[in-house]
Amino acid sequence: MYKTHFKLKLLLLICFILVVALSANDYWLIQTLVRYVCTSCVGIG
Amino acid sequence: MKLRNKRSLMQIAAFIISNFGFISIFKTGFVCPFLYCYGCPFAAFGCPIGIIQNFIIYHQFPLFTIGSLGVYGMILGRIFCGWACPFGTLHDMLSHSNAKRSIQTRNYWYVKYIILFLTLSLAWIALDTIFCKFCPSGSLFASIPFRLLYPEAVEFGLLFYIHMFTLVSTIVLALLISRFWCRYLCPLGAIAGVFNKVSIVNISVDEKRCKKCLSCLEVCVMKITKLEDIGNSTDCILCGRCVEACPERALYFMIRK
Repeated sequence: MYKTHFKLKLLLLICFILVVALSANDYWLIQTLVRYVCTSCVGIG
Repeated sequence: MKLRNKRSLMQIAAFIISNFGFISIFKTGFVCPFLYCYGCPFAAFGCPIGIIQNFIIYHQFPLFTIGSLGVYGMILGRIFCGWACPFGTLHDMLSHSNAKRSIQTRNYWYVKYIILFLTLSLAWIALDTIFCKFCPSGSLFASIPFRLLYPEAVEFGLLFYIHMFTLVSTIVLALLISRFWCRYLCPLGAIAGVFNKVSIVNISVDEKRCKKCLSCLEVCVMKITKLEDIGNSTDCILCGRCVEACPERALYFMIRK
């Protein structure tokens, strides 16, 4: 029972890792967000 | 070394690492596992709530962010709230003396889920990062440093004063209610909390040793009210105060199988 639960958890974790790997292109978009000023965050307006 | 000292060291380390972005190459595209605004001039990672809103605005699915949060959550649950989040650290400092006399209730725990729903739906409807305009973490780690660094470079308007209002309100409420923001309002805590039930690292209770003295619940800053909720509740931040407080050493961090 517990081993099944643990295997399911590992499977879910592997799925999330795959999601990250398959969407790795988003990294550059997020880096752009981090590098440029978020005006609403800093209170300009 | 005592657990509380380890926790403090981790919180300091997380704050320093989050600010590595003062060197340009360390401004990365990784998703921060806690609420730390990427509007901060030195931010090294992206705030997941800010990123998700931006992706919604541009009608893209934030797969990378959801995957990253899933990986963090599956391994460590909500532990980042207790051990790393700089805004949580501020709450720890503010509520250091009031943990025992703070409100002992789990009422309104669901408000953070309403905030999460509003954050995402407003980004979809208004095509703007509405939550970021009110976020007190952004006020502290982005608005104030930005204003100090560039006092005359840009015009600070109504948004800045809204930020200051939300920050002051949160600080006042945090003085009265321990971990106020984390308990009731944090949308990232709402997401991370869901993973507590399945996370690999967790806190466990040894039923044989436990004498049901409830010392663990007395020191809980999140005011968890049931023994079985420790480690499992969406509110538990796995800070380990209960582990330290247990006179029978019945609570411990473990790899849950």
